[in-house]
Amino acid sequence: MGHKALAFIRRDFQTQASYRLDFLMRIAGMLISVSIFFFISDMLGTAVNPYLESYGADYFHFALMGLAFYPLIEISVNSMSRAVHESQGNGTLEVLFLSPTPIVAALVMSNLWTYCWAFAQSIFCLLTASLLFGAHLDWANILNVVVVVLTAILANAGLALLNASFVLVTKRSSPVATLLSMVTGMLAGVYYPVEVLPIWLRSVGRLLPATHAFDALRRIMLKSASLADIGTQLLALAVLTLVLLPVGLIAFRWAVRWAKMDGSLSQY
Amino acid sequence: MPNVIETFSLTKRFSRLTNYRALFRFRRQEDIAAVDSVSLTVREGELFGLLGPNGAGKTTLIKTLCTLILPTSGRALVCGHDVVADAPAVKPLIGLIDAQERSFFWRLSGRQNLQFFAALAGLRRSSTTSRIAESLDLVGLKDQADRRVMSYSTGMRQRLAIARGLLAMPRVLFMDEPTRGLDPLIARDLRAFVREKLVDELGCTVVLVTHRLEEAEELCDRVAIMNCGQIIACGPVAEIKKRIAVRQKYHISVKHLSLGVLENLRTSHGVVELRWVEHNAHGVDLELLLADEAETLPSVMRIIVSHGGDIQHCRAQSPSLEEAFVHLVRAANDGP
Repeated sequence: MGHKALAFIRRDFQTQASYRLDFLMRIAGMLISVSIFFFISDMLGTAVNPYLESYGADYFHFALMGLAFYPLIEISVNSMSRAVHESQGNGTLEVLFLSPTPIVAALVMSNLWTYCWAFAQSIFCLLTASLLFGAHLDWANILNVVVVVLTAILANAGLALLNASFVLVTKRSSPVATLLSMVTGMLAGVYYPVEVLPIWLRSVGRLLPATHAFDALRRIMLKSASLADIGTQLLALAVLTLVLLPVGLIAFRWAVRWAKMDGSLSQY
Repeated sequence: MPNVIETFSLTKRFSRLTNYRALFRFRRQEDIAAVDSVSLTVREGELFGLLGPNGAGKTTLIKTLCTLILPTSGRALVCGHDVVADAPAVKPLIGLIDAQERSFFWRLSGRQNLQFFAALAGLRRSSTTSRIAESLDLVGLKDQADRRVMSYSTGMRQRLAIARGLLAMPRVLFMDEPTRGLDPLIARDLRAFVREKLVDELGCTVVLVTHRLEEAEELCDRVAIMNCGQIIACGPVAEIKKRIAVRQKYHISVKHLSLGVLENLRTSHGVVELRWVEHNAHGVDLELLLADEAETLPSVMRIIVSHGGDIQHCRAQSPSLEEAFVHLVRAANDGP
């Protein structure tokens, strides 16, 4: 399986490397985004600090964590459906299904490079903020960040499989994925603390794995929290994994069966 | 030889929405039988041809055997494994070469694509490089292997699809119109490779879907003709041709025959069709399709000789597979 995983990573790296301008544009985009939030924070000054007490940071540090990790969290929800949609488009989905590699494993491997690349961008974003804008981050805690990111990806895997199921059946990009991205951006505390939300919306936000992931990531990088300190967040992610993953697997299995009954695996 | 493929009343029906008004009715879908109660066997090491007009259900049948489509009813076994209940056991044993050339990563080179698909198929690293080189060489892409697939012509992408199908050297290989769009030289090399290397030397079982009847006639041990989802004929090519051999075709070269006699011949009892292929100062070459050889041929000869014709040559010609195909499909469409 390791050999296959490497083949997927190599394939996606080779594809990515063929879009050189895209790489440069992403780096430039990230620098600009970090700068924008730096200046917004400068403008806000200490006015928003009461909302940020529990994070022990100013708005720039708070938003930086959302900016750095939101793409990664979003990818963990959307990447499987994107992989299915792309395979439908380039005609490789039937080849994937025909191979002895189980399809869920193939989809996970299809996203390994995407996860690695997104994580590298997150780290690059944080490094840029540290070096150019003097952000104070606990780099010694980076392994804990990896643990939280992996746990969050697993918690989102059920949602990712649900989105992939939708694409497999309808042959269209999943509107559920778009909605989830928007809801995550709104309720998970990406660019503002969840404390500003009405209580009932906060409760809805707690149902999203991203909310717990962002909270844990901020505590690790901004307050030097250990894994024990973020036990509540990790427990919440584990519970969401236990609920969402079986649902996603059942939905995906049903969708595969539906597409095979319909004879529409190769259609897009 | 044991059977590697067995189907038992295999049926695949697709449900199609008839119209938008039907959305509001309970009986809103119309079933179309793409594969209709197909029972057939393919023996190990056999090159089996699957023929039929467009929409006959050939591709649906092989995709069902490849576990890509679930049957509505009936059963299919590949190497003894049920294609529905035991699909994971079937997959490592089969390969599919599809004529569609869309199924690649266009920004990667041909070689990079093959490296990826070799890993996906579970090929060992040690044999991957040599297998890729061998496959590329066979399809004539050795020199273009490091170009991006997006720069390939349609034929080149199709050849790359063939190279991919040959990578894992599966026990059963399904080939869906593999020579479509290939130039004659590559097509000839591929046919020779399939027959001599894959089937005769390596003992691979090949199911070949083709519209090129001369290709099936040249290569296949047995063929099945499909029409409207059903197998209407199955057996060795010679046996299928025999089915229409009651109508025997003759070529007769005659000298000194006046053209007026041709009308007599055309209206003679038992002559289904008469054409004169060539007419020159020395004589006529006749092509006759006779309903009953034993009865009609002597009477035709008598008419020719009695009108002063000098028979130079008389040769029976067995019908081609194409003629058998047309005859059987037309008969199936016309009904009993």
